[in-house]
Parts: sequence; structure tokens; C-alpha cells
Amino acid sequence: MIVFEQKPFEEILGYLVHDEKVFILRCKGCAKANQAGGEADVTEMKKKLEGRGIDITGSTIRGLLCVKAKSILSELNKDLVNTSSILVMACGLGVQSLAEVTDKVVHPACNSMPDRESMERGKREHRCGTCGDCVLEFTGGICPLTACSKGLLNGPCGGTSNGKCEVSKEMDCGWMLIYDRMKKLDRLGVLKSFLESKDYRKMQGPRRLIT
Amino acid sequence: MGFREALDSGKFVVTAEIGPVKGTEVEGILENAQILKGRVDAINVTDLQSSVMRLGSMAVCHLLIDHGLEPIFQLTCRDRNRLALQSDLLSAWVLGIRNVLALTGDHPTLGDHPQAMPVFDLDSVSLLRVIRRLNEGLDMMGNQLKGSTDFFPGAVVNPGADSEAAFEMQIIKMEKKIMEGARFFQTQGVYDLDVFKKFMRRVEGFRVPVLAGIILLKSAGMARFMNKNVAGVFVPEPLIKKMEETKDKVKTSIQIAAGLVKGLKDLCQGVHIMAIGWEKRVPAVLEEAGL
Repeated sequence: MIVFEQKPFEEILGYLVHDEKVFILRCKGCAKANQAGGEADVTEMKKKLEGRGIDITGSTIRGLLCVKAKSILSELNKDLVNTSSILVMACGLGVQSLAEVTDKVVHPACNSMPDRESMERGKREHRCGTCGDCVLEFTGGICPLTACSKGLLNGPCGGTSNGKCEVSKEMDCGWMLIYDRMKKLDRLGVLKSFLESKDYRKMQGPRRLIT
Repeated sequence: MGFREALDSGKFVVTAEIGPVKGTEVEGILENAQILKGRVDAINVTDLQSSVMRLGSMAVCHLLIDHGLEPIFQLTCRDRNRLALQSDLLSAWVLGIRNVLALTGDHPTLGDHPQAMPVFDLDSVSLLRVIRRLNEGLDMMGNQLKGSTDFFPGAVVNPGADSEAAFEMQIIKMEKKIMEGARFFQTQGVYDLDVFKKFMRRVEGFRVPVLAGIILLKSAGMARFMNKNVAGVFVPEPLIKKMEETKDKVKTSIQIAAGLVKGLKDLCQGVHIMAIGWEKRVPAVLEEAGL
């Protein structure tokens, strides 16, 4: 699931050239993204664009764009005959999936971003940095890569104040949590181990991974 | 006598600090350098301190060498990955730089380009290991160098960490830094000699020289600001009061700093004076402290 929000309207307008015929396609979205609005979003976008003289050939909500782009596109074939471009209200994955299967110009209407809210709420999604070389054995089951703002592997920087991070007084210093935990476990000696710098190749997607 | 020799000799060592200008006007830096010349054993040059974009540490270190001063090249992990760090170390060496202070670096969000990508590919401990390897004629991957370095590496420690966890982690990290080759330490600003004494008792056994940090107090406001915003710095109320009540801030500031230096003489191996724009006053502090 990717969280996205609509780009500023003027930015979207800037993408569209004179006498472009635009079809608006909004992804039904995953559970969370769907909270954003749906039908109302599309109607609003259509109205605003038409108000600025843009020719809108049609609009619809389909899903999920990321996995069904091809079948969605064939369903829409008729509607797209007089269309020169598609304005896609979806996450970056949805836009790319559609671009892969159409020759029409695809305009993104949204910015995709880290899901900070559920990161905060459940702390689950960002706890693991999927680094490919787990060090939790040495840090009391708390990951320094994600719990420390700088991802420091060998202890805290000098910026710790009242147990908080120098980046924000609202945020715990990951290394203070690690210390407390290791003290409780009577394993403070383990904190003296040198942890090797990460192999960045293991943290990359397949495109950047060359082995 | 160079900085390394001064530390080896057992004399009470004094270092100062210069923060490069934001821009290209280096006259002020050179003026301060001339004032400090002959009065201090080495001068630290900060590396984009507080994550504010400015003239680089390496260039200013080189200028200092040209003017007959010995620099300590501060190098942070904030902006360079391992390739750039190693390459910059080689470059620094061929420019005549001999002392390096390995630092983590402040987070970019604290500076004037908060949008910047934080690098932190290495940390201060692994950076020290890299320096040791370059000194052995090898890069981080073990590849042979054509010509090695012979850096004198140092590191920092915060003796005023404000909780047991923070303090103990500082000590653990200090030990790791020593394991990876740190030959001297410079500390965060010290204002409370009792706190510092407690710290020195803990680390005496490490047998690595410690230069206690002295930050010149410019005003009561500055002291309060640091107490609130600078991790590990705590200015006790009586000192703040002195700065508040004085008619001559410069004189009182010099007296406070000199008093601290005197008190530190028997506790550690030297002092590191951070004047933050008041470099001209450093000789007066040293005179008043009897150095």
C-alpha cells in the first residue's frame, strides 16, 4: 500500500498543454488510500479543469491500477478514442503500471509518500530497514538503522538530550532505548562489538543491485 | 613542536577552533589564525558545523598550513559516503594535513539546507577504522594504496551526557573509538569541574589524552540557550549570574574560561578552546590561566 495525496492544482494544470483532451482515471486505491475521497475527488478535479478551459473527455474510478492496468485500459478503450492524455489520480505505482500499457501521455496527479501515520501508530512498517544483514543480535532486538535518525551502528552521536534525538524532542534516541534494553538483559558488554558498515547493495531494489 | 609531539611530551596542550566563513572571504580567518599563532598547539577547522553550508574544512586547513599553523581536520560522516571520505582523506594528506578528528556530524535537518540527503554511510567509529587502514597503506576494501597516509586520528566524547544511559553509551563508544585507533579526544564544552572530574576518573585507565572543551561564554543569554539546546552542555547558574551582572562581558568571560582552564590543568592533558567568533580573546584566556 502506498499513501498518496493530490498535487497542487496549479502544478497539475501546468502539465496540460493547450487543446489537450484529458481523461481522468482515479485508482480505487488500497484500503487506506481510498479514504482520500474517491468520487468527490474526481468530480472536483473535472470541474476545476473544465473551469480553466481544459477539455475533459471522461472520468472514472477503477482499481487496482497497479495490478489491473491492462484490463482496465481495455475496458476503457472506447472512452479513450478521442483522448490525448490520461490524468492519473493514483500512487506512483499505479501511474507507472498504466504508462507501461498505453501509448498515451500519462500525467500523475498525486505525490506518493512514506506512510508516516501508520509508522507512528504501529511503529511496525518502519522498524525493519530490510538491510539484508541483520544486527538485532547485538542491539537487544532494537534496530539502530531505523531507531537512530542517522542509522548509526556503533553507538549514539553526541546529540542525545534527555533521552531524545537531536532531530526532534518528540523522538526517542534509538541508542538510549538500546542501552536500556541491553542493561535489563545484562548484556551491556555486547555493545562494545564493532558493527561493520552496511553493504548498500543489499538495501537496493533489483535495478540498482548488480552482482 | 607539533601537536602529536606536544601530546607525547606530556605538556598541557592547547587547541583552538576556527569555523570557516559562509562564502569566500578568508581574511577574517587568516587574521584570527595570526592571533592564535604560537599560542596554541593546533587549530581545529570545523566541517560545515551545525550542518550550515560554508567553506570547506580541507581548504581552510590548507590555508592554515600555508600560514605556518598546524590544523586538525574535522571530518564528518554527514555528507560523504565511504568513497568520498577516503578520497578526501588522501587529498588532505597530500595537502599536508596530518591530524584528523573523526565525527558523526549534526543531522542536516538542523542546518540551513534541511532538505539535504543525510549520508551517514559510515559512523565515527568505522571512519576511525578507515583512517587506520589508510595509514597501513590499504583502503577500506583492502586494496593496496600507492603511497599511504600517516594521520594522527582523534575523536570526540561528551563528558556531560545528561543521563546514565547517555553517559555510559559515551564511555562505550569512546572505548570503541580507541579500539579503532583514536589517539586523542576533544570534548564538548565543560563548565562543571566536578562532573568532568567524575568523567576523567572513568576514562583515566584508557590512557588516551583528553582535551577538555572550553566554550567562551559571550552572554547570559548564550549560556541559557546552550543549556536548553546544546546536548551535553550545562552552564551552572552561578556562572550565568556572573555574566548577567557584569559590566564588562568580555573580561568576565575571559575570567570564567581562565578559571576553568586552571581547574582542568590537573584533571586532563589539555584544553580545546572554542571561541565561536571571539578567537581574538583566546590569548587573554591563556595568559590569565598562566599558560
